[in-house]
Amino acid sequence: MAQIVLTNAFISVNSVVLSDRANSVTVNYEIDSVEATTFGSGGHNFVGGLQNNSCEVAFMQDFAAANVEATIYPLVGTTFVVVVKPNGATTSATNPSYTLTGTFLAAHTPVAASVGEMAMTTLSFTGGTLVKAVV
Amino acid sequence: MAQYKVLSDRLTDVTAGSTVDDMQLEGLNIDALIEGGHIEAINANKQSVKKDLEEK
Repeated sequence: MAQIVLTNAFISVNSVVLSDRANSVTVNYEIDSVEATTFGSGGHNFVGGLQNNSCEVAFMQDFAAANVEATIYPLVGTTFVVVVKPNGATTSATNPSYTLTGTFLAAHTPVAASVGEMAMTTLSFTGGTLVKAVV
Repeated sequence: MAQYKVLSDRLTDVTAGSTVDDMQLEGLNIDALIEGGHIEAINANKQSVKKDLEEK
């Protein structure tokens, strides 16, 4: 298995493919650690709780029809599906699909950049259930 | 079952001009897809509504 330099990540938000407008993506898979320590324990014991997932994506803003702004703006305050794959759209053992279902978007910055900079909107999708697939 | 015409070429697994239904869009925010210009509802009763209006 070879290392991978991320050059062709696939990102869909609410089933809209926006990979060609993004330059950074992070999928965080986390499960709450629930304290289960009892009397007589020599140290803390934990059991797995709820998933506590999130996904951050930096998009270059685009106000064209059916593009970044048109897609993202109506999603603020709602839940939907985000799919991320490391290397293109075809799912495989070496290109797993990470599907975050029921994730929530709390905030979006439609206009954000300093003079001369690329207008970006960096989104944080929180919550939902993460499933990894290889086929 | 509601049907929608795909307007955008950015949707996964469907092409612009095709038709999708509620089942295919399960789990997605359909209102946001409509507002974003990716799909539009197909009004199955368009003809009958028009006919009703003409008769009045």
